[in-house]
Amino acid sequence: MDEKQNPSPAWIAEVRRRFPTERTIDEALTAKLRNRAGPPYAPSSIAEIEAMLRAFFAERGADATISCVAPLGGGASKEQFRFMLSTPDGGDALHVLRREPPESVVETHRLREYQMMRAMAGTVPVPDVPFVDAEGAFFGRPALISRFVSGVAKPPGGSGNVSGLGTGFDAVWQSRLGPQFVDLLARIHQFDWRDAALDAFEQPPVGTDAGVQQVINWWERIWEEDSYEPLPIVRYTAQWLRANAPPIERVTVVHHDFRAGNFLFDPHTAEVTAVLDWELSHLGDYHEDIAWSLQEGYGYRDAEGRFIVCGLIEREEFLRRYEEQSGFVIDPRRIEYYSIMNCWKSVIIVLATGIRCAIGGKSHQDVLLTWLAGFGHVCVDSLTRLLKEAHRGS
Amino acid sequence: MNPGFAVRLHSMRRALTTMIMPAIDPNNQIAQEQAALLSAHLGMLMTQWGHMDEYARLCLADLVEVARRLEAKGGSATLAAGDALTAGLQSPPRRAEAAFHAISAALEELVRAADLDGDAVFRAALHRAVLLHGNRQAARDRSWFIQCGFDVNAGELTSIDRLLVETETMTNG
Repeated sequence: MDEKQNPSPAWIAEVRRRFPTERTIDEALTAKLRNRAGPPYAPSSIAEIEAMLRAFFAERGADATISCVAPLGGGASKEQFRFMLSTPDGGDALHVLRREPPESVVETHRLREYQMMRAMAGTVPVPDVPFVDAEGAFFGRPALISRFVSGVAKPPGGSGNVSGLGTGFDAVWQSRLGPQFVDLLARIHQFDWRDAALDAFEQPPVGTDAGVQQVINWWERIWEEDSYEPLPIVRYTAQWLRANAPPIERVTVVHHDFRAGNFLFDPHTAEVTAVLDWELSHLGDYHEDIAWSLQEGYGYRDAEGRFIVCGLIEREEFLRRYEEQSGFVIDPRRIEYYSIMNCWKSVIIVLATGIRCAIGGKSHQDVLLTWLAGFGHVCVDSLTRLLKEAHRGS
Repeated sequence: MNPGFAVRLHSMRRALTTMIMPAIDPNNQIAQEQAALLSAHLGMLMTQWGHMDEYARLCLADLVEVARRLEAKGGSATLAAGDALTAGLQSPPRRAEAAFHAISAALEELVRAADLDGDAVFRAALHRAVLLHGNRQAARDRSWFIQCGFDVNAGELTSIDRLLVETETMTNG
């Protein structure tokens, strides 16, 4: 068994020292390491989940009834259960409990997700998030509760791989969803976060690369903690990213996983009903988000060789419309930089953390994570090609 | 040896798809999804299991070739990491997969050390070697995991059988 599978307090202290990052990110990663030697994931029965929900609402003095608890499929990172919350005034509303497994393919802080979703309400469609159990006092592990939002992640009868990857949209769906997809991203970036209740987040300074270096620390720390099979290219990329980090000129909310599969839409009207998966969101450079959506693995080339971003909209149209809607200029060199960073992060997620979860039997989706690892090699391939094109070296 | 892997994997997959999956509660989405993934994993294992050792030897041969050409230059950290890599090449673990893992780890450590005190010319050569090797290894691994269905450029990939012909070529010179 390698040292990472049972990290000592000294090992944990050293990795925290070497890779300083945001306080709440450090808290989430440190909690993961401290729990690593603990027991593997064991499913909770529906009755257990129901009992936890009852205790949670009783503590809040809510005279509420819980019913219709059922597990939800989909998400690779968090356990999700749908349930009906009924109040004495006759109000019935479907809700979703989103709970951390012992380890997840992305280790994040529920308070960050909760705060960001609440902050973004009204700017883009986001599920209402009335409750959070950031310490796991009621649900055994940290969790949040949101209102259930109707909608689908892929067109009726459409194809797709796990976790929303490779979702197929035909020309009709592209014309209905593509423009909305871009406009939502522009609105996220235009959001004025300065007065929002986001104290779980740190604000990177403008005009320096300090915030970018902190993001590199965040992800290189994860590689250090979770990697199982060495990959020299990952270590080299970290060095390249440090040497070539651009300053942040405008700080915006970065969703961090804005792609097909992470929004819901009404299958009848094609209106987007919710932007999901805010758990990796942070404050940073909007180019980071744009480059994430542009990743090759999330789109495809059509018969004319044009790249279709997330299977939804042609690349040049995506960029043109984004600039028009946001009023922000897209810097191609920053897109190049963040494309490399994002490929690198994707490799770390699927080939380090995902595998580490499966080794310890730590998540509810281990079998999905070992399948998802196949995507990691596509990302390594993209990473090496992008680095070669960048021709700068460190 | 009898029954072998092929027939056992085949029977497991048949049991899963014909008996177990139809019996899963249709309201339990996650159980349904995971059963489908299990079936897909078994299908991929059926394709791969007979080639495991050959594939590992192919990956190892390329990595060894890259690592042998590196001559570490720089300060004490770089020289120590270079020595460790050389030692690893001289007495690698017996199993090809374990040897690949060990030499990759030593090479990753050399990349880290060269960032601390590596000679600039050596560091550039090391980065180039790592980049080119990473590109070749990714192409192989994309072929190896092609059944996962994530590759939008699957048409450009070499089949596993063709890759293994390369192994024989490399092994036999």
